[in-house]
Parts: sequence; C-alpha cells; structure tokens
Amino acid sequence: MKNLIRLQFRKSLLPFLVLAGAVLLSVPAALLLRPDTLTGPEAVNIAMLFWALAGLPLALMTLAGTAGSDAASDSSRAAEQLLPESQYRQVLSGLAVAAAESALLLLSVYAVMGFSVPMDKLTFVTAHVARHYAFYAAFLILYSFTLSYAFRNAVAGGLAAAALLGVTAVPLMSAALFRELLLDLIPLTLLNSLTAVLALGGALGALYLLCRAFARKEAGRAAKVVFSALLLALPVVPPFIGLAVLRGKAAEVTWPVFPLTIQSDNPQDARGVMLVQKPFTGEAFLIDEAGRRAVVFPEDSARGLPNYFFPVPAFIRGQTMAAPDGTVWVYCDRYDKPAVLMSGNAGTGLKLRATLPDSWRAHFVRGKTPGIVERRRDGFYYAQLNPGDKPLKWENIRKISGEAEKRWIAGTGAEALLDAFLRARLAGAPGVAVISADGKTVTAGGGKWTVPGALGPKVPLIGLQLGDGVNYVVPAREGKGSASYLCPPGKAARRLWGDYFRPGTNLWAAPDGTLWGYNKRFGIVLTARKLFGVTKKEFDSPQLYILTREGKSIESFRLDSILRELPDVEGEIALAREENGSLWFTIGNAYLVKTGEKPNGPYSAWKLPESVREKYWRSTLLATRNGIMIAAMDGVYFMDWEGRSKKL
Amino acid sequence: MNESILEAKGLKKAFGAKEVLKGLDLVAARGEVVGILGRNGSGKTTLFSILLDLTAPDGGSAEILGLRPDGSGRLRGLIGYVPEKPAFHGFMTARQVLEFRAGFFPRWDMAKALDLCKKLELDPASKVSAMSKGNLAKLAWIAATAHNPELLLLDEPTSGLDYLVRDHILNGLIHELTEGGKTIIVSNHRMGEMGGILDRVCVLKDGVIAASHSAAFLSEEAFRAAARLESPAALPEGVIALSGSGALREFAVFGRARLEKLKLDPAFAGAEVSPLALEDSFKVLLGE
Amino acid sequence: MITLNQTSQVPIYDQIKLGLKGLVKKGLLKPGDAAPSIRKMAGDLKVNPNTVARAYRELTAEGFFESLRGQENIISPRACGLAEDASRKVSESLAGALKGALESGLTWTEVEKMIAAIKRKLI
Repeated sequence: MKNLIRLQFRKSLLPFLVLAGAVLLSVPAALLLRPDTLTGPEAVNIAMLFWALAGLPLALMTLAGTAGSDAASDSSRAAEQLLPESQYRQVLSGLAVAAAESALLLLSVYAVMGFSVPMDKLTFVTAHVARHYAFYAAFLILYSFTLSYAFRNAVAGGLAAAALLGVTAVPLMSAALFRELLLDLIPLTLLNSLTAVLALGGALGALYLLCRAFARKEAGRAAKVVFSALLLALPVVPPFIGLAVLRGKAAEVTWPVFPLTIQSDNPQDARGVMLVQKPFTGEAFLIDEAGRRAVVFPEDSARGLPNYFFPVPAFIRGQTMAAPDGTVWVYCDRYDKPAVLMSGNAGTGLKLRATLPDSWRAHFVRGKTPGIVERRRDGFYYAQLNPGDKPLKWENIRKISGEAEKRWIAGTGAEALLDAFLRARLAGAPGVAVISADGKTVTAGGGKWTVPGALGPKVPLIGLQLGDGVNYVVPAREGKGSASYLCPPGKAARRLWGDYFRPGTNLWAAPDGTLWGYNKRFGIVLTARKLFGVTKKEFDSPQLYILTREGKSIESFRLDSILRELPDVEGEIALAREENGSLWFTIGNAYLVKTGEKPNGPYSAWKLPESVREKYWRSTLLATRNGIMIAAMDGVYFMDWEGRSKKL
Repeated sequence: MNESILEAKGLKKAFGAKEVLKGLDLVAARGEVVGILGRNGSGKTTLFSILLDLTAPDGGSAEILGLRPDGSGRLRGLIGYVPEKPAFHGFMTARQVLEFRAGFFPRWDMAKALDLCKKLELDPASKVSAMSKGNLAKLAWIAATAHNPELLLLDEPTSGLDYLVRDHILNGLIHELTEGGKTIIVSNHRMGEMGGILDRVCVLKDGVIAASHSAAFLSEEAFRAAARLESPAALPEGVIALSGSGALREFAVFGRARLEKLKLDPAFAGAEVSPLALEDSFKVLLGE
Repeated sequence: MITLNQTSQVPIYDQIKLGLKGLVKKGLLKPGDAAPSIRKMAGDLKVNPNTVARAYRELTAEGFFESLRGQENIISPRACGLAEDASRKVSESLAGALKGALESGLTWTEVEKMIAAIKRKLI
C-alpha cells in the first residue's frame, strides 16, 4: 500500500505543484499589487480568503476529480490492476493521496493566515462556511473523487460534486441562520453530525459499490449503480427534512408585540388580553385568557423562495390599551404594511378604525377620554378614541415640549413619564401630580400634600390606584440620602420607605394594583447571569420593596435562596400578584414563584413553557389578574396562580 | 501423484446479454503445461481475469494454489501473469518498473530480474513510453517471472513479436520449466510453435472447455485420410470432414484405434492415410 | 543436430533417442563426450524439458549414457555398440523377411510395391 501511495503522489505531482506554487506566489503578489488602502497583512489575508472561498474549492475539485477519473481510466487500470492489492484499495490509494494533497494546500493557506480566521469581518454566509470548512472540504473531495470515478470524467464529477454540496449546504446554512436568530427548535448539532456521517460514509460506500460494479464487473451492475446513487444522494435528505421541520416549528413561534404592558387607568379592570405576533408568518392577533382570538394582521403565506431558506422575521410593534368602557384599543405596525388602529375585543373581534400609512410611532393616552398621540412624518397628531363607528378626528398638535419629544424619540423615560406629560399638556387630566418649585408641596387634582424635600419639580408624577383611591409616591431628599413618601387621598403624606422611588423608573404597579419596586442603591442587578455557560450562583438579588393594595409595606425583600436553588435562572424579576400574604414573582421567562412574606420560607416554583430567548432580556410574559399569559415557542399559554398551565 | 494447482468448476460470466463463459471446468496439475486453444473473443481473457481475481464470476468456483478468488488480490501475488497487451506507467524506466513491483511481491528476486534483462537484451534504463512492442513483452515476461510464481498465466505471449523476441520468450519459458515445479497455462494463436512444450491442449468453445487432448496424442495419433465415397455415408465418431465435394473427400481422424476401424470400413476402402500436422489438428478442433 | 518431425507418429522422446543414437553412429558424438544439457536440448528443439528428461532417463537405463566423475549423461563406450546393435537387428529381420518373400515367389518389383504400400500404411 505504501508503494501505491508513492505511485499516486508521483502521478499527481504536476497539478499539485502547480496549485501549491500558485498559493505561495499569491503572497508576494498580494504584497506587491495591493491598493494603498490596505496594509500588507490585510492584503495577504484577503488573498488567502479568496483562496479559501473560491480558489481552494476549485483546487480540491481538480485534484480529487483527476484522481477519480484516473482511477477509472483503462490505462491506469491496466498498469495497476495486476498488482496483488485489492482493486478497492487501489482506488482508495488515489483518494487518500488526493485528500492528503488537499489537506496540505488547506493547511498552507491557513498557516499564511496565521492560523486564525478573522470571523468578525465575514458575512453570515462566509462565517458559516468558515466554521464548517473541514466538513465541506472533505465532502467536496470525497464526492469529486467518487463521481469522477463513476463518470470517468473529472469535470463532470467535480461539477456534480459541487452541485450536491450546494444542495446540502443551503438548508444547513438556513438552519444555522434560524439558530442565530435564537430559535433552538431542532437539535442542529445532531442534524449536522448525521449529515456529515451520511455524506462521508455514503461516499465511501458508493465508491466501494462502484468499484465492484465497474472494476470487478460483478453481476447486478445496474442495481449497484442505482444503490450508490442513492447513497450519494442520501445526505441531502436530512438537511431538507430538518429545514422543513424547522420552518414548521418556527411558524408556531409566538412573541409578544412590544411594548408588552397593556395600559389602563385601573389595572384591576384590565382585560386579560395580550397582543401576540408570529414572527415567521407575519401574523398578529389579540388573544384573551380563554383563548379567543381576533386577528390584527393576517398570515402572510407566499413570501417567495429566497425567504424559504433565509427567513426574515417580520417584527411587529404595537400597543394595547383598555378603555374605561371595556374596549381594547390596538395600535399595530408591521414593517411592510401601513400601521393600523383597531378597537374591539378578543371575543367579539377587532374593527379597523384607522389606517395610518405615514406613522412613525404612536402612544395611547389614558384617562376618562382616552386618546392617541401619533408621530408622523409631518408632525404630531392627536385623536380622541371614541367608541362606536364614527371615524376618528385627527388634529395636529403643533408642538410637544422639546424635552418630551427628545424622550419620546429616544424611547427612554418610560410610558408613565410620557403619559404624565401628555396628560398635563391635555389640560390637567386627573391622576397627575405636580411638585412645587420649592420642593415642599405636592398638588394633584383636588389634593394637596406637604412633603419635605420632594424631588423633581419639573417632572409630573403619575398617580397609582390603591385600595383607597389614587395615591402618589414622591421621592424626597433626606439628609445625605433619599426617602419616599406616600400621599393617600384625603390623608396627610407619610414616609413610606427609606430610599428613592419614582413611579415608572423603579416603581411599578402589578396587574392587581400592588406596588413594587427595587432599590437603586444596590445596583440594578435584576438578572442572574450565566458566565461561560455556568450559572453564576453568587449574585446580588435585588432588594424588593412592596406596598400592597391594603397599604401593607414589605421592605428589602430578597429572593436569594430561591434564585440559588432554581436551575437556569435568567432574566428580569417582577412581582405579579399579592394575595393574602402570598407573593407571586415571575423570574425571567422561566419561572413563576409563589412565596410567603418570609423570603427564606417555603415556596412553590413552576417552570413556564419555553419562550424564545432574546438577547436583550425582553419579557415574553404578561401578568393579568387571573394568571400569566406566555408567548411561547409553540403557541400562547396561560398559567394560573397555582401553576396550572394550558395552551390557548 | 500430482496435486492439482488449479481447479475451476462451472465458471459462468455474462456481460449484459452476452454469455461468455457458460459453466467452464478446468484442471491443471502441478508441473503441467496447458494450452488454451480458442478463437478471438471466445472468453480466454475473461477466464484469465477470473482466475486472477480481477473479475467476479457470476457462477461457479475456482481454487488456485489453495486460495479462492475473493477480491482481496492475494492470488495475484502468487501468479505470474503476462497480459495480451502489457501496460506500465509511461514515466517509469524498466528498472523503476521492476523496483516498483518488487515492493509488492515478497519473493521478488531482483538479481534474477536484472539478469533476465541482460539475457533478453532489455536496457533497464529505457523508458516505458519509448518501448517497442517487443520490449514491452520482454518487460512483461520479466515482471511475471521475477518473483518465481508457482503458476504462470500467459495470454498470447508471442503474438505480434518478431522472430528473435519470440525465441527469447520461448527460451525463457523452457528455462522456467527446467527449474521445475512450475505450472503454465498459455493461450496462443500460433499454438503450433509451442507444440513440443505443451503437455495438454484444451479447446475453449461456446463458453466451455469443449475438448481436452494430450499433446502427445495430437502429434502421434492425428491422421489425414483421403477417400472416395461412392455414396454419402454417416461419419463415425472421431472422423471429421475436412474438404472436398463430390466423391473425393478428405477427413481428419483422431486416434489410432479409430483409424484402424476406418480402414476396415468398406465405405472408406482404399483410403490414403498420412499424418495430420499439429497446426491442422488445432484448426480442426477449433472449427468443430 | 537433431531434427524433430512434429507430425510423425513416433513420440518425440523416441525421436530424441534415435537422433542421439544417430549422432553417435555418424561419429559426431564419441564415447566420453557429454550430451547437451537438458535445458539446451529442450531450448534448441523447443520441447518440454520433461520430454528430454524422459529420453535421457531411458537412454541411461539402456546403458547409452553413463555417469562419470560426477557428470551425468556422458556417452558410454557401449553406445556405439548399442547403436550398431539396433541397426543390426533391423537389418537382420529385414533380410529374413525379404528372403521369405523371394522364396514364396514374389518378384523384386512386387516386393518394392509392397514396401511402398506398407510405408503408406505404417505412417
């Protein structure tokens, strides 16, 4: 066998030397011919990348193709068949040498590149190719050889091999793209491994069968040829099946339409509805706790063949608001359609109230007469949202104050602030408090409170509905630190907590009206972090401050022990409900935890159905009064407060 | 008691619709020189190919030197084969060819190979791509015998070669025989020139060995009889019509006993008998 | 030296023996000479060495060859005599047959015709 290998090297010496020479010469050529915009090493790297993506595949096809067609040629066979080595091993010696020469070429290019590939400079496609280069190269070599042997022609074999490689690689790349979009819907490593095994094993098996059919002229030639064709075609199947399964599953993926919260004046009256999108079909719909749906944007079926392989999720933005009379207003915007404004309900359906082709952003305004403020290309517009069928009347608001506009466009300064601004602008809507310039008095609607050292005179405060009416939480300066005061209706202001709390910044209302916030002073560590794949269990659990509807205050509540015990804890922590001394928290998109008021006491934790993991710690849960609605990977779920979940 | 070096039973091979071998049996004992006589395209090369484990038979079995052809190629290490059209790598010299082969045959005798080169007047430094047909035949012969195989298969070893080269090859053959113990199976178009060397002649016809005669039998007991047949008569066994129309006919008779019987047959009274040349016997056997 | 007749009914090994005997009779080979080696003889005649070996074995058995000083196949002194013997025997039986033919009233011409006819039959 060693002699055969030496012979094959001698036979293929000329083309190999020519190719190696071309690779080596390209280095000085790149250095000499580089444009001034590139440095020397950059030019060489680009030359090597050209080799890797275009030159080397052709080189591999040539080396393996000529080796394969030579192994099948009569002259080679006549000279070599008589040797006391099995005919299959004789053929394999040609393949082994072609593979070795190709490996040498690959290594030399890799070495010139300094044994590292500049991944960050590559597009998605080329980066994918670079990651799986070894497999694609081996595929090309084996298939070029085997097909050239079958056709007795290097060109035909090489082209056929390249075609099969393309057909196998495109769905694999597509599946990798899905993974890149953080949709781990199928075991991609398994698919890749299976394809690799089928390809490499299949090519060798096909070669063996072809050898028996052509060289040994065994009976049943036709059957052997057909079987080897099947073996060669087989690796194409798993990628396509995988891609089809992947697309099927992706069509079921749901995602909330951001921003997620549903606005209403009275959270306790909020309808349990969620605006959900299916990013891969372009559908958006409103769904309630009972599973009734009303379509906002229908599914977009035929999106073309390139979209079959390289899907572009249709990101849909929108907002929901529950009006006092119970209707749900929906503003929804898809990238390829004009924005729509609809009203109605999940059960009875949504009616289109306005189509807004030029809309940039919009924001609902709560209050006794709900309205919508919209930013179009030519300015800000406001309309009152009236129930019934009458069309909306749009009026151009000349200006919002520069501050508000900045905050609105930048997307910071949460809805509460914006809401407050707009309400203030819209003639003193109730539920907004104003702090006096000297920081001593807080005025709102009909009430007046004295708060020493109140902070934030220029920024209005939005009110919070508690058991006894609209309350205001006002941050104040206290000595060297801060404190927060509660201003209940009809009563004097009282000190609530010894820390800075501002509604909308670090204080929120849960759907049932419970106030909760976290302490800024200890850092905003709302998340449990995963480092190097291992969940770091030493973290700072935020200190939570809770004020129930009845007015009970819980300070410095920590979830450390729970966070340490639960596996795979990641994401934001939010209070969802308080009832009879039990507290419900959602942790990331993963868990619903019910605990008593003692942090280290007994607790129940329920794992939520899996949602798409997004890079920016976005929540896919919407807490309502009766439970949690979850936009999961395969549909919308509802989990009640005892952890029982059902698919809607 | 000579053990049999080669036993082929019922070998079958078809290429598509064409059946080449239809159940061929062949036996060769140690030290035998067997000639395979057959027309062009009768399947001689296919037979050799199967015996050399290069082609898989569709049916039947073969046992050679205790091994069966199983695709591994081991058999080829024990057989010396001279193909009809010898082929080597054009860029090698004769010496390089021999050195290359030496690596594959454990019993290779390089000294013998170079000695043969000298005897056959083959320059070891000459390149294969520049070799004449005669030189290629010489190189093929040397490559086949340098590893002292027990069995030699020769496919048309002298066809197309000039007198001197042919002489060299035949001398080489006899030399190998003199060493002793070698079994040779040879197919040759001009079997006559080998008449003295052969022990046995097998006729390959219609995909089987149709007849097998010892060489002595063919040279000593083949006769040509010319007779006048008054009326058309049925030919007894072993009597084959050669030529002639009308009353005057010529026949070939195989076997002294049959000749005596013919002489006594009244239909063939007055036949003129003379010996049948070896070449002519071969022609008759082929044509039968 | 020796020519073989491939078409003759006489077996080849027999022809070799007769040929050697003829050479001795003509004096081209003398007692004490070594016969050509089996290989050379086989190569010159283009026959199977086994055939030559058989001829030599029989010649040795008949006493035509002897082994001398470690060498085989040396023409023995009795070779001439053996060759002569063989001829004489043939000559004697011929003489007897011819005498009987003439005594039974056949003419020479008839005898010659007979010889011709037998010659044809014998071949």
